[in-house]
Amino acid sequence: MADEAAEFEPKIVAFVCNWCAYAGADLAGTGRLKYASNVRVIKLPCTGRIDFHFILKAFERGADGVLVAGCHPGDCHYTSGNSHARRRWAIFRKLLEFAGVDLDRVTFAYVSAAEGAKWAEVVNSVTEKVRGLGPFAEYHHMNATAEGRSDS
Amino acid sequence: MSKELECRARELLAGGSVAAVIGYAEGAVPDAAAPVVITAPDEAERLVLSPFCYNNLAVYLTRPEIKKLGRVGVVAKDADIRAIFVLMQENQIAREDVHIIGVSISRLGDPSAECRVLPYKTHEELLGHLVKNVPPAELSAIEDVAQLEDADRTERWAYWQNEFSRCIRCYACRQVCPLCYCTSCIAEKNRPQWIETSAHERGNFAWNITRAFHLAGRCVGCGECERACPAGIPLMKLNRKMAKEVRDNFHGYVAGYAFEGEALFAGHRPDDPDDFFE
Repeated sequence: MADEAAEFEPKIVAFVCNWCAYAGADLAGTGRLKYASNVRVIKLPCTGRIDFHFILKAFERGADGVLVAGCHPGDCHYTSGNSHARRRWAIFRKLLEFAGVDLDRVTFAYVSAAEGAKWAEVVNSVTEKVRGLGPFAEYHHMNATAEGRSDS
Repeated sequence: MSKELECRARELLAGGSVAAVIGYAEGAVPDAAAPVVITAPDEAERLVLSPFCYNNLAVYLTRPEIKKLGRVGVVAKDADIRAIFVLMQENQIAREDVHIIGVSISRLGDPSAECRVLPYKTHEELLGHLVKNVPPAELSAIEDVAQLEDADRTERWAYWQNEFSRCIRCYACRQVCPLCYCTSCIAEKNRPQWIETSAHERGNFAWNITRAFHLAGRCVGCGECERACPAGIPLMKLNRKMAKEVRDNFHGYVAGYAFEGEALFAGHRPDDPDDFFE
């Protein structure tokens, strides 16, 4: 059992905006920063484009954690997409929590195009946080039932 | 029967200020009332006000067959008035296209109140009535929410899994909701399919979370979804939780107390909470 826990590598999906967080991640790469490889990055035009269904779908496809990253307030390429999104997330995360989802599985972060180091830090901290929680067993169970597989 | 209501409807229809009045008529069985749309002054006598008037008739206002009639009158209880206000705020119906006939309904076992027509004629007067008689703060008496909030996370998960497991995806909750007015619902979209249509745990979770969140900051708490649910899922518990979070996070915002201005998620403020951001 202890071995299994040690072997667990969390799958994390990151939804990032094109202008800030993605550029930040790019900078981390250009700067040859080393960080956890558990994150699969999905680039979107803006955090305002990130529908809450993306998060649910990530869990449906087996993610153990989700990271949503975009521009700092006032930095949005589209003026206010991030501010609209922030309002929605403030409420949506409370709904997830109420439904019984551990909020440590869903992380929100401001990462600017200049914050390559912060991107690396955020990814590392999210990975460690989710690793500590273990697999998202409850959702994996729903996935197995829905797909007619036996629960693994 | 209500002479007051009959007179008001007759007057509106005869004067030509509305093309139809949406109200309640005697139901098909005793002790029941059913929605009715009347278009002639003589039909006004069919209207009833009784403890069995439950439906939120605001749901019909966005239907194409009602909209094409032009200006309509609608019988509306307090929560229904709030729903109409949200529809106006979201530009789904024009202020001038609706004449709200505000009513107060006494439920069985509540002899203190009687079923009556409110004396107000304008939206402003009705808003004043709501603010005075149904203060926004009172709507957030939410003990059942607090109880579940305090429960262990795994208990909350188990609780909703159990409740959602009975969902048969009939979408009655959506159909009766005056604020679920999209002509093309995401639940029916399949390219891509965001919400699985199968009534398994995963599909039911996605649907019920979606319904709750799409009504966040908009739900006026009429309770029709829960009343319509054939599986008895406590949907209002989700709605009340959303209302509570909206109120606490966004400067005391309560849906349905304005018929103009910006809807909650159509705007933002620099001081919106962001303490959950890293």
